[in-house]
Parts: sequence; structure tokens; C-alpha cells
Amino acid sequence: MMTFLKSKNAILLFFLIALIVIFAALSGGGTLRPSNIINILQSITIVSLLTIGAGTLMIAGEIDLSLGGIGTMSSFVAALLLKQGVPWFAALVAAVAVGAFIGLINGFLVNELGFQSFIATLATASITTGAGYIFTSGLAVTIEDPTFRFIGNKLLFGYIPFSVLIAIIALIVYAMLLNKTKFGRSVYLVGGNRVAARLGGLKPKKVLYGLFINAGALAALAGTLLASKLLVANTVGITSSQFAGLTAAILGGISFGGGTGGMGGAIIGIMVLSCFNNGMTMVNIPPYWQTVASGALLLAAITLDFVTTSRRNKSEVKA
Amino acid sequence: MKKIAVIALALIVAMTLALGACSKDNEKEPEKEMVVDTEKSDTVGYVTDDVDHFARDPYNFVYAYYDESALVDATFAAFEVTGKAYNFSITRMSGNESPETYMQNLQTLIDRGDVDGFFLDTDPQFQDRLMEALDKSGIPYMNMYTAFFDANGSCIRPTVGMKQYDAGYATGQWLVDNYKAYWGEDVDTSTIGLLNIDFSVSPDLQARTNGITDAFLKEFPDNEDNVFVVDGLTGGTVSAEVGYDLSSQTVTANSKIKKWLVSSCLENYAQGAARAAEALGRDADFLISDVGSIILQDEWNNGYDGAWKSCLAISDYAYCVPGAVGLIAMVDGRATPETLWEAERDPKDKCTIWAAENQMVTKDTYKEYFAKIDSTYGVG
Amino acid sequence: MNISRLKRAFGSNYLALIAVTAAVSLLFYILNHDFLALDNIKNIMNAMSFTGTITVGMALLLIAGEVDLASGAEACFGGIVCAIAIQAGLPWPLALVAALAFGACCGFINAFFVNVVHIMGFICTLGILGIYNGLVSVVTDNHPVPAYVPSFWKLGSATVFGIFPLPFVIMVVLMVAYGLVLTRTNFGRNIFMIGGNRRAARLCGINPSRIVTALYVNNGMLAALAGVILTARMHNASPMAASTGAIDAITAAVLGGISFLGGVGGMGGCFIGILLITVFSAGLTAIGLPSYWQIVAQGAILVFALSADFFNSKARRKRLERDEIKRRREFARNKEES
Repeated sequence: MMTFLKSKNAILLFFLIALIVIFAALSGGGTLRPSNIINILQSITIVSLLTIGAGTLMIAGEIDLSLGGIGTMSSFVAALLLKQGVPWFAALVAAVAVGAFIGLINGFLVNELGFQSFIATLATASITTGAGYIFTSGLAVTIEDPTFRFIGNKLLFGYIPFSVLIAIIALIVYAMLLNKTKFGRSVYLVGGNRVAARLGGLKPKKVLYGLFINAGALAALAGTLLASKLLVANTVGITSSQFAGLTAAILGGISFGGGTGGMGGAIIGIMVLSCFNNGMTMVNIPPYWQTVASGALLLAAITLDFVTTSRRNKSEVKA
Repeated sequence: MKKIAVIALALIVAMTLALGACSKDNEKEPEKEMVVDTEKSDTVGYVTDDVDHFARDPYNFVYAYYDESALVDATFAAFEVTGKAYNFSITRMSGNESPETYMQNLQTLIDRGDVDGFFLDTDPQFQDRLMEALDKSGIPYMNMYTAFFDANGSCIRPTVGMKQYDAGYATGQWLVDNYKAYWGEDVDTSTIGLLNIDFSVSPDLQARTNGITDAFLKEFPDNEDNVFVVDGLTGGTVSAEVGYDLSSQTVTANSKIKKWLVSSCLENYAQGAARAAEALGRDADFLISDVGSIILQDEWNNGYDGAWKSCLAISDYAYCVPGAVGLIAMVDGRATPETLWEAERDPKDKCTIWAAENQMVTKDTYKEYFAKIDSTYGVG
Repeated sequence: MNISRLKRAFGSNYLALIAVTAAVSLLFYILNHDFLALDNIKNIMNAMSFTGTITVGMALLLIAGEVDLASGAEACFGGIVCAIAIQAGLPWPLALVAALAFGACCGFINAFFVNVVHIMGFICTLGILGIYNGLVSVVTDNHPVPAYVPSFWKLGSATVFGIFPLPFVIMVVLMVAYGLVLTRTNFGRNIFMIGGNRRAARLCGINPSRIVTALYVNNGMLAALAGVILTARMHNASPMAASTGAIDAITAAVLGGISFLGGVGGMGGCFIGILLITVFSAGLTAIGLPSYWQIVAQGAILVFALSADFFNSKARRKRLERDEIKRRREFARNKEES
């Protein structure tokens, strides 16, 4: 238990609890109202899926900037198919397949053509965003299918948004994947030292392909979920949540190619981000200052992590 | 690691249980009875309305806009001043250019429970979800600038706005009516081109752009090849630089056009075009107009006298005051969305679009125009 | 300068990029003869200069293995500081100095977080980007800040020899200067070493923290300079300017052969990278391609250019290997005969 308390995630957890308490106090209990909690829960789904995708790639030392474009384009694919009368399940599968395919292209560019992931995914982002605009002539596409609307909006037992269940399941599945399976371990190894991993018999290329495809598929799912929540597939889509996903992963302790970090931290990072954004609006902080505060939050969290880590290292050295 | 998953799960389960325990506190207020006094219905929601706004507690309104811009800021400032005259306080909420964030933040404010009314200034793409959430909460709202239409093109919520197509058309019309005054009588009209800087993903702005093009083509039906509609979307941001780059690149790549009529749905782009004209040293060959007057006013106040000669003036008070008065009438219960401003309604609409005043102004006429607006609306 | 050095300088890494740029220019010229007219070329030079100036600072950071995602915001802020100073009555050269000083402070702040708090450059500048974006709006109330001093505008609109716009000349001068620093000085060599292997560099006696600090400060100042020049061109400083500055700069640098991992690259590549991107986007506008296709094309050209570069490097390597094998066989044969 003591090792847990001293671990990175415990610090983050305390940070999260402190945030909740502070905002609850500032808003006079408003943030703790049931309707608000439902609101927060509804917001974490999209970010979670993006965080898993971006986070796993970060552990392996790559970055993916195309998740926003993939999600938006997939949502258009799903919406256009639904308009043609395609059953909801097929439309959903098609959207995810499109996302996975673009992830495959990302992997190809990085693995076979030696592109840096930054530029490869930037290029793919442009191409998918432009393609999305071309498909829909820049207009939004409404979603009329009732099942789709259900997925995005229904509250189970009147309280728990259905989409949250999807996020929780995804987080647990990926946590287990990273920690218990050989593939998960190879992700860490590839991130820590790619040459050593290859010499050790792993296939970094295969791992990267898997991660990119996975991130693409998750982004497609996120984009489609958002479209069903808003009842339209629109041109902005999840583009703005893209950096939130990255930030949540960083907040949760995942570092670039350091081979460290995990889904546990990511969950806490997501909660921190969501509660923070919600709290700021509750307390009526003006929008400009909210942007400043979000940036400051990131710096504060990382600094806090550094301070506690170094102190812990010092005490360990003494002992 | 298992511990983390367990703790996170426990957190979420605990929250869910907390919902169950606390649910009794969240009783919604009973719906206010909408009382409409038919005798006074032709003054309800107007500036001339015979109501003492200070006989009640101040209302708490929120201006919920989609993304930051100089227009939004000016509107907010105008609301603050209007609020002092009509007894309401105003705070702002931004959607950060994302429908998801917009909905999220709006829902947070609805749940907070202390907002009496909303001014919505947003992209109509996700209007269904938006109206669903707001109607469920029972909080009245007034649309600013952008109207919500149903599938038949009928407006379904009271809006203070402008007819976007007509606004664009007016600037185009001004250009074709006035070019002779700046370029002389005997200009070869086949060398006149239109540079129209668009932002295609916004239906409102696209409507303005269409208006501009149509006004030009009505006057010069043979000049279809000389119409250049460039999309600011390719530049990524709504800024003067994008306008500058697009304008100068189009102009230098089409040397057959000797004279350029320029207009834009957004004033930032027009500002970029003005800079491009100066940089190319071709102020004499350009005539620029646009929809929106904040930036050009600043320029005129600083002594600018270049090719950007006119704009469609949008006075904030001409929008904010009617909007505020209308929203107050709905919150008071004296009007419903369907009965508000019935006298102004276009027969095809279910709810009224209040067409706010606007007018083409030039450097000589703008001060007079804004002074007139200020005195009409009694604020500022 | 003998021919082989010239060949080495060009034929090496940049051949593919140069070829693509030339091909693209030719294509656009065929579709629209005005494309290579003097006016249009001046436009392209103008359009290159903002991103180019930021890229100079960014390239140095990338070679050292760091990055500054807030460069665009720093440029925007620098322009605003300059405009505010001008409004307060300062003569514009002093306002420029104020902006540069401000940029240097931004650099120090970045360096602090990277060196002292040991946050990765990517992450800390991501946070700082958010802070600056918000502060810029707060400071200006989202209104562009006018900089209405006609003598100041010359900074953005003057031309050298009547042809080259001043911003472009400034950019080229900076690139040449910093290029020389990178290749001719100890300092430059140290930057490469830090990028390649920081621990090894430290063991060699180099002080990475000091060099990284210098690079961040330098980047901040260059970004502020770019912002001031943009303000001169636009006659005002807008809080919405330069929002994609950092990403554009990184794209141009990576296109030009600089790697995110550090340790490789040079200024020549950066120049070609920016040239290609700007020529391409100007060309798309010149031929009037519909905007959605333009966005697709912007991504496609990156893929195309980098693929060409990849295949060219592979071919070069194969050629070098073949030459080496041939040389060794000759050597062995000669040895046998003797």
C-alpha cells in the first residue's frame, strides 16, 4: 500500500481530489449535483478513446496528429451510409474500418517510407479533413437513425450515459492489454529502446502497425459517437478534442518514448481534464482565462510530478 | 496497476451511487405560466414597451458564442452597456469552435440553475441537439445573428439577425454602383474582375458570398470568367494574413484583370486584401468593401484612406438592444417564442427574424450613422 | 569553390526536394503563365518570410533534440508588444527592441521548464502555448492593436534592389548566418552533438543546459522578430495571427531533412522546405483549385516530396555501396597482381 501511495498515480489522484474539492467549494456545491456529474461523465467518452489511441502511440515513441481528421471523416462516412438506409451496425463497422485503414496508411508511411510520425500524421490529417469536406460539400449531415441516437444519448437507469460504459470498457480492456499481454510489453520495449527491441527479437514494425491501426479505429469510433451525441456529423468533429486526448495522456504520466505510463494514469488524467474544464465553466471563468488555466494546469501537474519524484528519489538515495 | 483499475472503478461506482442518493435534491422548478396580454402584444418586446425593468430582480443572462472574434467581443461589450439600462447582468461562454465544447459548456450552465436566459450565437449545424437541451430546461433563449431553420426553410426560433444573402448583395451592389466614381467613366469593363473571399463551411458566410457574386454578375453578366471566389478555409485561420495571401496570390496570378472589385463575407479577409493592394502598389486599381464594420472603423479612426472604401455597418446596439428587450419579454412571461414580434414576421416563418438595421457606410458617413443608432436605442 | 563540393552540397540530401519544387513550379507555370511573373515571385518571397524566420529558430532547436510548439504564439505576442509600445509613443526601433526582449523572456521561461523542471520540450511548450494564446486575447481584448506609423511599415514593404522584399532578405540573411554557425563553429557542432546523444555530449565536456537555454532564447527572439515584421506588413497586430506558426515551421524543417530526434539537418534544407510549401500553396491558388481539394493536396504534397526524398536516399545509398564494393574489388585485384 505504501508503494502505491508514493507512486506517480497516487499523486495524480490526490491532485484530482483536490481539484474536485476546490471547485465544489467555489461553486457552492454546484459541481457535485447529479446533473452536472452526468455532464462530466458524458464528456469523458470521446477524450478517453482518443487518449488510449494517442497514449499507446506515445509510449511507443510516436505521435499521431491525424486522429481528429480520421474521426471527422469516419463520422461523415457513417452518417452518409445511414442516410442511404444502411443498417446501423454496418454503418458503424464501416466507419471504424475506414479509421483503421487510415491508421494502416499512417503505419505504412512511418514504417516503410521512413517518415517521421509528426509529418506523416500531419499529412494524413490534411488529406482526411479535405476528403471529408469533399464528401459532404462542407455541410453537416444529420443522423436520423434511432439506434445511433440511442448510443450517443441514452442514460441507463436515468443516470449513467451509455457512452461512458463504452469508455470504461475500452479503458479496462486496453489497460489489461498493455499490462498482461506480450503485445503490451512489446509496446513498452519498442518505446524504451527500439534498436534493442529489434535485436531482442521483437518486430517494432508490426507493433507500430498495430498501434496506428488501433488509434485510427478508436478515433473513428470516437468521431461516430460524437456525431450520434450531437445528432449531426459536422465539419469540426473531434478535431478540437485531439489535443485534449494528448494532454490527458501526458497528465496521466505517459511520457514520450520513455516506455513509461499506463492506462491507470490516463484515466486519472482524463478525469482531471474533464473536471477542470467543467469546474471553470461552472465558476464562470471567462473563456480567455480558461485557455490560460488549461495550459497552466498541464505545467503545474508535470511540475508537481517532478517535484515529488525528485524528492522521492532523494529519500530513496538516503536510505 | 490492478489497484488503479479497482480504485478508478470504485470512484465511478461511488459517483453513480451518489447520484441515486442525491437525486431528490434536483427538483426542477415548475414551468412558468406563459401569460400573454393580447392588448399589449404589439409593444411587447420592443424598446417602446411600457415596462419598468427595475421593478424586478436583475436577470442573469449568458451570451453563448461559438468562437472568439472581434464581433463577439463588441457584442458582449454592447450587452454589458445594455444590461445596465435594462437591468440584467451578462456573462460569456465560449464554444471554442467546437460543437461538442459548446454543448458541454451550455449543459454545465443549464445545470448550474441560475441562468435566466441565453443569447445564442452559434453555428446552426447542431441545432437539433441544442434546442432539445434548452427546451428541456425551460430556459428561454434568443438567437443572435444566426437563425435556426427547419427543413422547409422556415425560421423556428426568434432571432435578431440579418439577411445574410442581402447583406452580401448590398456590398456587391455598392461596388458596382460606385466604381465609376473612383476609376472614371471610361473603364474597360471586360478587364474588371471580382475577388470574393469566402469561408465556405459556414452557411451564413456562404450566403453572403453568394450575394456578392450575384450582385457583380447582375451588373457584368459577361464577366463570369473574371469572378474569383477564394476560400479562406485553405489558410486555416480567419485572419488578415490569410486574406492578404489569397488576395495577392490571386491578383498576381491573373494579370489579365486590370481592375479589381473586392468584397468579403468577413472583415478580417477584407483587411488582408487592403494590405495586399497597398503592398502591390495598386491602390488605384482596387475597390474594396465588406460585411462588418469594426475593423474598418478602427482604420478610419487612425486615418486610413486606401482602397477599402466602404463596408456594411453593423452597429452592435442595433442587435443587442432588440435582442435583450425580446429576451426579457420571454423571460418575464409576457411573450412566447411564437408570439414575440408577430408584427415583423415574414409569413413563411414560425418565429420572427428581427432584421436589424444595417447600412453601407463610407469614411464620410460612418460617424453620422453610428451616432444615429446610439440615439435611437437610447444606450451607449 | 570546386565542382565536387558544389555537387556534394546539392546533390546530397536535397536533390529530391529541389526536383519536386522545380517540377511543381513548371506544372503551375504551364497551367498559368502568370505564375512565374515577377509580381507573383515577389508574392511568394513575401509569403515565405514569416514562416521562414520562425523556422530558423525552430531548426536549431530540432537539431538539438528540442522543440518549441509555442513559436507561433510567441510571434503573435511579440508583434502585439511592439504595437503596444508604438501606441505608447515609442519610436519603432525601440518598440522592436522591446519585442525582441519579450521574445527572449519567453525563451528563458521555456528553458527554465526544460532544464530545471526537466519537462520535455514538447510537453512544456504545449502548456505554454495554451497560456500565451489566452493571454494574447486578454491583453488585446481580442481587438487587433493598431500600429499606425507609416515609417514602421517600411519594415514590411520595402524592397532591396527593387525586387527582393525586405522580409525575405532578412530571412535569407538569418538562414545564411545561422547556417554558418551550424557548420563552421564549435557552438554549431555542439548543437549537433547534443541532438545526437546528450549524455555523450555531456561526457565530452559540453554543457547541454546552457546551450539549450541559448537556443530557446534565440528562438523566442526570432519568433518575436517574425511577429514584428508581420505587424509591419499588416499595419496592426492581431491576436489571431500566426496560430499555425509552430506547426508550419516544424513541417518545413522536417521536409528539409531535419529529424525530430535531432542530430541531423541544415539550413539549406529548411529553405527548400519552405520554398516548396509556399510555391505549392501559391500555385494552387493561382490555378483556382477548389478549396477542399487544396486541403487534400497540401497533405498529398508532403507525402509526395518525402517519398521522393526517401527513394532518392535509398538509391544514393545503393549507389554508394556499389561504388564501395567496386573500389574494394579493384583494390584487392591490384593487390593480387602486385
